[in-house]
Amino acid sequence: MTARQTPDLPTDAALVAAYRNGDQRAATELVGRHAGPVGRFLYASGASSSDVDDLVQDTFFRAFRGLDGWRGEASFRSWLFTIGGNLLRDEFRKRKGRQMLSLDDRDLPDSADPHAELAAAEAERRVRDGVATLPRLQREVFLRRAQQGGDYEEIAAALGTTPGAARVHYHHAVKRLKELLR
Amino acid sequence: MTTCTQLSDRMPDVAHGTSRWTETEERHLATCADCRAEWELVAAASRLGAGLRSPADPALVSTLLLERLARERQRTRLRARFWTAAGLAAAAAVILAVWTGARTGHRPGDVAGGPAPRVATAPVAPARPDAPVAPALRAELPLPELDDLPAEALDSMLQALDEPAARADAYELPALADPGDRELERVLTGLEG
Repeated sequence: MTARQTPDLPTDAALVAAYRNGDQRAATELVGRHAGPVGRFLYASGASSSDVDDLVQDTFFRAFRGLDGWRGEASFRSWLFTIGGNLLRDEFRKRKGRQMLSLDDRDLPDSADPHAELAAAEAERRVRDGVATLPRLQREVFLRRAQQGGDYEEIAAALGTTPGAARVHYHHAVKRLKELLR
Repeated sequence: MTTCTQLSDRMPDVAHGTSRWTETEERHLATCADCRAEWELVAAASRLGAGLRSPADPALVSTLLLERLARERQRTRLRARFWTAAGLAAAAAVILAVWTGARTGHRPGDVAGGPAPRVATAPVAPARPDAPVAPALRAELPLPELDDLPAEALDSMLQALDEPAARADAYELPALADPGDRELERVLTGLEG
């Protein structure tokens, strides 16, 4: 789940420290690194594609305003996911559970095989609908693991649980989604 | 021997391209419908939002973010300045109240009709202007330092009591509300013994 960082690129922690020292380019670099994955995570969690940009913006705003809250136990991206997840939950509450999912307004990539593309879009829609019905911890663990490729230790650190409990949540989520998609 | 659990644990890595199936794992996938269903699910989940162009312009996101953070910092600074000024104003008001109270003989906590006006009610209490002031009443006066003041100083002090800043009119001072020169003279005589 961590950003793939080559040795010649500064780490997220180094960029955060640089931003704290007044280097605004560090913030730009952090946004460039993580905005895409954060947007995908929010979209997969149930945000409509029209809301994703605003939610990404709010996620980064809250993160930079409260940088002291990031103590490095989990990766910076993981921490952003947590903030974004909280924002999305608040948004769901504000809308009183009204469904935020939408696929029609999403930009579909061009494809040489429109039938295969439609089938993939349909599969994605079903998975996304299924993910949206999961309890929050199951949904977060599943997406962090399946969508972002995070390991259980890091997921557990980000969500304030144990690696064993994260594994259990993941398997519950998989079981439930398999039943839903059968 | 590949078990379903081992395969399940490796699925996210394979879906993200950081690992590949071994031949044994591929054979297992081909024969186990449950693992195949899970693999399709994980593979689909790993692609969720892959076609989403969000944010449309990361540079714009960071520009807007930095502007928003700058506005927030400015607002925080202004708020801090406001509360500092408000704190100083409150402190100044308290100091002024204490200082005014010391000058007029009122304690800051005294309220209208409370014990503070004793300085005025004691000597002017007699109904008849020419009646002598009772020694017991004189003994009740809380400001013995007034004894050494000349008549002019006392006069100006009593005038100061009528000024709006001191709000002397808020207290119950019926006998001093509009004292004549003769009355004041008697009061001062009484104070001086």
